[in-house]
Amino acid sequence: MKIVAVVNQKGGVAKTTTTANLGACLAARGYRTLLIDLDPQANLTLGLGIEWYALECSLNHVLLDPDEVPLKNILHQIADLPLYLAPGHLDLAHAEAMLMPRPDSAYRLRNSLEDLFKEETFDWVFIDCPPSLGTLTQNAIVASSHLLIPTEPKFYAFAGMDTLNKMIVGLTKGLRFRIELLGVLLTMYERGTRLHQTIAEEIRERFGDKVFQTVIYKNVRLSESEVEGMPIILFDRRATGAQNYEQLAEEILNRATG
Amino acid sequence: MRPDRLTSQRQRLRRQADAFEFNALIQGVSTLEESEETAAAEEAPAIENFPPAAVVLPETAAPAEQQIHAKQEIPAEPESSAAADLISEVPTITSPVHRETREERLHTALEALGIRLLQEVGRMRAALRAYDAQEAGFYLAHVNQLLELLHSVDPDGDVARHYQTTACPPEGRTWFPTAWSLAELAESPFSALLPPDADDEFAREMIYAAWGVEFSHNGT
Ligand SMILES: Nc1ncnc2c1ncn2[C@@H]1O[C@H](COP(=O)(O)OP(=O)(O)O)[C@@H](O)[C@H]1O
Ligand SMILES: [Mg+2]
Repeated sequence: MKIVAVVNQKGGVAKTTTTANLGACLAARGYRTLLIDLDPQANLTLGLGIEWYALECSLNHVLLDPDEVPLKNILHQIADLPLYLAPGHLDLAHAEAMLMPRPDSAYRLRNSLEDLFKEETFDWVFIDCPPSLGTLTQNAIVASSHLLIPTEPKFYAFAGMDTLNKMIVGLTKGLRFRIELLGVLLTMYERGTRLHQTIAEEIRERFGDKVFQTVIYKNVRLSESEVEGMPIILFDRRATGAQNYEQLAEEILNRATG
Repeated sequence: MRPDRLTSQRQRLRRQADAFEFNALIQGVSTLEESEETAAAEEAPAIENFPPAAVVLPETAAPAEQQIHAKQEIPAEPESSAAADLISEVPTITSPVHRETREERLHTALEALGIRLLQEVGRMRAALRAYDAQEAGFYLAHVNQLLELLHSVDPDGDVARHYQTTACPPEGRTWFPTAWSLAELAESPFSALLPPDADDEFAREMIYAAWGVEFSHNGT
């Protein structure tokens, strides 16, 4: 089992889109996959067709009161696939505040996952992080074995990864965890844009084979599938976006086994 | 695009990448391999070295003294329409429920501002943990601006308390004072978030960075 935090403090770089669609592609291949929506904006939850504001229990309850609401109790199965979602909620912002002063604040999600794994098994777990490096993202990193960093081929990409690097180094001073980079994923890539190509080359130069060969091209069908509340492979299998995420799933599986 | 333009862009990118650090990401990190004793010593994680972000939490609020100080410094202004406009535009948080009355709109705004405040404090705290004074200053500016808004629309925090909005001040207290100077920062509960070995130089850099933040069109 790999537990992957999908992280980048910049918003709009396709963290949520990647979590939903990569997760769905793996589930469609038969891998039991768990998605965790750790962002108070709860876009992953909405994007998978679940209206978080109507839920009685979501991840914030699990983080604040795991004895009362274990993680197992809030899981939703998505589209008859072996795909499960732990829904997020706006109140996660509140949970973040409540947790901050507690000494175990960063270990909450890890503890809940460990309890869950006593009863359920998964092949892949993806954690969709908020666009910030606060307590919630710390929870994701401490709970994960791997990082997946989606980034647009933009000028600020390096700065963002430097900040993330700093955060990780900062966390090693106080927390017990182990994490390695699954990969950097280039998203919103525009075909034929020389600047994108240049930036992509430079990122590959620095990060070597830690950058996925697969690139996610800009594709409006991805946004449309989000609005429809379903992963793109169920919405439009032929779309470039669907093919890109299928290819990413293949690449990740090949790496994991090869 | 002309090739020489592309070359210069590539050079700029390289300079950037050279200035930055990605080793922990590329090589991975682990703090699990230490001996049992070290592990035991770390049972109570050193996270406690970073004083908790008590700053926004009712149960761990700042001493009353500071609060009185805040009250004197920040005049209780009536709710200006400019502030109300700003609040109605608070980004990123949208409530699915449409609230109608003026009081209810204020409630919605206070909730949104409270959430935003927590997010920005969280970001500031993360930057401080990473010893990044520049970035911390950037978020401090946001925190200050949010506090100014909160002081101006709900001077005593009564409305927020009434509705128990996120991060509302506890009974008998108002919002935290802003920290736009070294002296204010030293007195502010936010100073508890500074890394343990941060010196004056660090705090000054943070304040200067906060001054450099412009609040323009896009809400930052
Ligand atoms: N490859 C893509 N092409 C076009 N739009 C995309 C693509 N990936 C994501 N989007 C859209 O961009 C927006 C931001 O993506 P999202 O995954 O929510 O980013 P994040 O979670 O990093 O904030 C969403 O509206 C999403 O539908
Ligand atoms: Mg997102």
